[in-house]
Amino acid sequence: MLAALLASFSFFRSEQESDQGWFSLGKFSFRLHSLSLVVSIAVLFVMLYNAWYEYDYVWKHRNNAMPLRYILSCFWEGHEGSFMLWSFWHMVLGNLLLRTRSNWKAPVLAFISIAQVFLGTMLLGIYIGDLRIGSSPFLLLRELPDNYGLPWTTFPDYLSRFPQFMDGRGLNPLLQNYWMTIHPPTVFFGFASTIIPAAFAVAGLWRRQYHEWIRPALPWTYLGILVLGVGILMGGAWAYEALSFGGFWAWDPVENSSLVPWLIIVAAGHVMLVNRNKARSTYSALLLAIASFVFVIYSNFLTNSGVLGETSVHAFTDNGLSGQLATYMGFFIALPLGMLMVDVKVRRAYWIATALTFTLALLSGQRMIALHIWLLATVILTVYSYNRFYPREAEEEKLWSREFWMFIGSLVLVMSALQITIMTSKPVINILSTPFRGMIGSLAETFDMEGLRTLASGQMTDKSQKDLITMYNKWQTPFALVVLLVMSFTQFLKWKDTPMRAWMKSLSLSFAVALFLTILTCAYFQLGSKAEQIPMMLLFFSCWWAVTANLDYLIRITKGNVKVSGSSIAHVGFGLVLLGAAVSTSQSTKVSQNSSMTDITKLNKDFSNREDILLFKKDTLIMGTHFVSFQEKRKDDINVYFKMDYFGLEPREYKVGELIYGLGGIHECVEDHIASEDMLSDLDHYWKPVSAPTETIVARAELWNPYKAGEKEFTLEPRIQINPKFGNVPEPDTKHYWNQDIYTHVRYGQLDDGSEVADEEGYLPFKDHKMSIGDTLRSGARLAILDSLTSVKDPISSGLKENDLAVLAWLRVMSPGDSTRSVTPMFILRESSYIDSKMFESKDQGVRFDFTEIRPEEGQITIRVAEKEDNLRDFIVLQAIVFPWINILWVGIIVMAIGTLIAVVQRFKKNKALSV
Amino acid sequence: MKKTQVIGVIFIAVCLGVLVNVLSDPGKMAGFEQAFADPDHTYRVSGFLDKEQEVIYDPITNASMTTFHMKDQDGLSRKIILDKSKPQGFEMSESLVIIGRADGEIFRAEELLMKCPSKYNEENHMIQEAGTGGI
Repeated sequence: MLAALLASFSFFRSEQESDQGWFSLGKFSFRLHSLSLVVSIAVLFVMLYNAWYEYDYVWKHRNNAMPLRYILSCFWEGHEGSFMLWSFWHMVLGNLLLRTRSNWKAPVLAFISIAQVFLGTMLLGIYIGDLRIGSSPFLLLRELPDNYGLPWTTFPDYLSRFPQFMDGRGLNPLLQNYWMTIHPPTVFFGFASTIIPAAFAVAGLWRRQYHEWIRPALPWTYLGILVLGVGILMGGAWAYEALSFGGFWAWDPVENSSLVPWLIIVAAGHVMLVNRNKARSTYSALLLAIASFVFVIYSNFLTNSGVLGETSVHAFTDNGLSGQLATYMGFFIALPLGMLMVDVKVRRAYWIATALTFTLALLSGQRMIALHIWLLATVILTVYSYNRFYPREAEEEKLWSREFWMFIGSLVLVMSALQITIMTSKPVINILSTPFRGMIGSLAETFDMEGLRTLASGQMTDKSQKDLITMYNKWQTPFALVVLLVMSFTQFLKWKDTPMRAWMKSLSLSFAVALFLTILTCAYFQLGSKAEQIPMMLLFFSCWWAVTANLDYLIRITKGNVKVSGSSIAHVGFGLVLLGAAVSTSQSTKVSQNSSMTDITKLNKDFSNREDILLFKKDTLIMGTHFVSFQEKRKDDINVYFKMDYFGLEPREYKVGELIYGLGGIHECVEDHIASEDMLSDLDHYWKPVSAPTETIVARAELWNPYKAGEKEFTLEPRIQINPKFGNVPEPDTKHYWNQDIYTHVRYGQLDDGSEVADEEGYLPFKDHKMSIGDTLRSGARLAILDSLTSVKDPISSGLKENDLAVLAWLRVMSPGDSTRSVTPMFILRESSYIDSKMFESKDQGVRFDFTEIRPEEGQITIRVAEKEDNLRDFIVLQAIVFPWINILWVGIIVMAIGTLIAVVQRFKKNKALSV
Repeated sequence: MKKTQVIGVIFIAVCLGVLVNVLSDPGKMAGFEQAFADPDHTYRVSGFLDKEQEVIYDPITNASMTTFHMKDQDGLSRKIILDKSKPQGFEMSESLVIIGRADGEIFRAEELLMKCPSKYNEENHMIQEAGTGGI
């Protein structure tokens, strides 16, 4: 395989002599390379399929228990498999290109082949001295460098000899989801497809045909936009469905690093359109086409190198190849950027400088300094050659021209991508700034900037996840706003220049409709009263306008002509995606506030059950617009399901004499009534406050609630996946309505039972509690406060012997649904030496208290409590989030995919027609 | 001024804005020593669960509070109060990252990220940041 790879590389390079013979040879070697790649992929599949655990990769990613359909997921679970997948898509795209009639095949395939060589070496797994190049998925366990020379490797039968090698480590259970068989290949297909515009751009520079490369590259670019876009959103769908992630997007570095190339390739695609139509923005088109590919490599570097380390929840382990990856990245920045330096002398100078700094870095060990010199040289030479060799267009674009605003839109996309990149790259910035720490430190003192000080010590990282998300949303909202606005009106602009009046007129209808829809939306969610809601309302408006304006364009201008409607449809879809995302996220509510009766706020000042609800088995509590009841727990294979019934709300009727907690105190009902929405309005007529509630009253009072449980509406079964190797994992269950989703997941559930055996009376073993006076102990849902200790003055009448010393512990016990009771277990010192105790049993409640020890020096006593088995009811902690209008997001994705697909197909057809 | 220049200026201004924003007050990585010396700032401390001490999670008292001890990279062990429910598989975690600030003798963590013992399990970690969905 690797020989073929190298061959294709060299042949394609020579092919540049524009010789037909070389070309055939190149074609042949590329085919050979494809064949060998397919064969090696097939071999890996066979290995996985047959579970040959002597291979390290198989052992790590498969196990016997796994259903066969997830073997695909195993394949790309590891680094090596994913590199292989990436390489595979390059190969597929390369072969597709070979079948076209384009005269650009040679240089484009040359570029792809170089990339293939690099990817191939990532899978090599050979050592040159101490330098490791690549890591092969075909290593045997005993050949693994970590295991090399270990005693067991000498046994020929080590697989059957050691139980840990009999079965593989298996696939992470979370990956055993149907999205996971389709999401990674799609994303990698998208990643791979960014190479084509980059390759075409480089080819265009190579041939010095700065415009001609665009036409053949365009359909591929849009293909990339389609596939990568869909792939990213599939990841979102998976996160939403299978992960207890609390949503579909969390600005995680891994998500970000797939979003950034997408933003760039979208920008590139649009600038390329500008260039093809108006021969403008040549430089930007070239630069962006290349940049999307560079960002793909950078993404892979970030996620695979371990640089993100502890700043990321994704925290991949370093596979020992980050140096290699970094080198490749350097190469793929240097090569195309050098090509962008049109002047041959500058180009050569740059490449030589690159090679020199690289050797210098290797030899001297001063890698950081070399890297900085190189980066500096790159920037200076790029700017220099831009100014020198790309003369500005003499005439500026008109303000109201389509090309101008398309360019602006793309530029904003790039800015958005840059913001995400910088935010995500904090660990990289830490490393890069190492040589300048002293300088940054003194700067920090001068300006008194906390951030600079942090950077000087290399400690820069993200704030808490919540802050991070707020930060991203704050920055990305204006970007999205501008992009959406530009998207709305630009289609109605003409190339070159547009008469203002006609333009305004054509926009007015969609503008009015969008405004109307926005007002409706805001009214629905009761927005508009606060100033901080304005950005969100603006965003809603721009989403709506992007939808309506493009629909308008679709209907009035293209008149539903499929050939030209791709872009409008895609834009409508994009508008819908952002609308769905903005509405469902900003208006989402955690409905799972704790409404359980146990009044525990008094006991713990840290009590903050604003997000999680505690549910005892068979309890029915209000949660948002439903009553929820935890019915049963059921174990099925590796999953523990928690069955929850949901009931509708019915108005609650209160009768005279009923006691409630509400409005900060206990109230008694004085007249039968049906509760209104707000207790305040009922207060004067129907309730009178209880000024000095007795314990009995406190225990009887319930939380005021205007509703009671009605008809059963649906059942959800969130589950916890048990996996001893990877840790247990909760998976959500979601109720879908047309207008909202109720998304629930179990935060805490008791998984193990049967470990404690009850005695014949049904009591579980005693549990010890060390207490001082005033302490509270908890047993099940019961609370007991130790009020005092009293000695028994008259032992005989208490049924004791004369010389006995006895102490009573006075415990105040509060049990849910019952009044507070006094419980008095007794400690007895018999004949000053022998310790005994008299247990206190509440038979009706099924609980026993025992007083077994006094430690005067510590001021502590030991109370033991035993509960009847039936008392310790099962419970779970549940979180539920309502996402309104989330279906708009999913519909938007489909619409966007269809629109882009139409555009791709049309562009391929057009190109084909032109090249015949 | 030409339009291109205006755009250029805006572009540079936004880029600078992002940089200043990133630099203005980012989170910090540190050990317990530094975090406890400076209780006014939020720190991100990495380490691992101190298995000699008890992990207390008592959902009946408070479903969103977990108490445990963590050792940082220098081996310092501190008591941590996490304002969240105990994550599934917490005891098996290989390493932890907590985000929060020192408060007297204890460390109050708003968030916890954990790594479980597996080679390539990005998805395993994702679950630990539940409740933080964004756009």
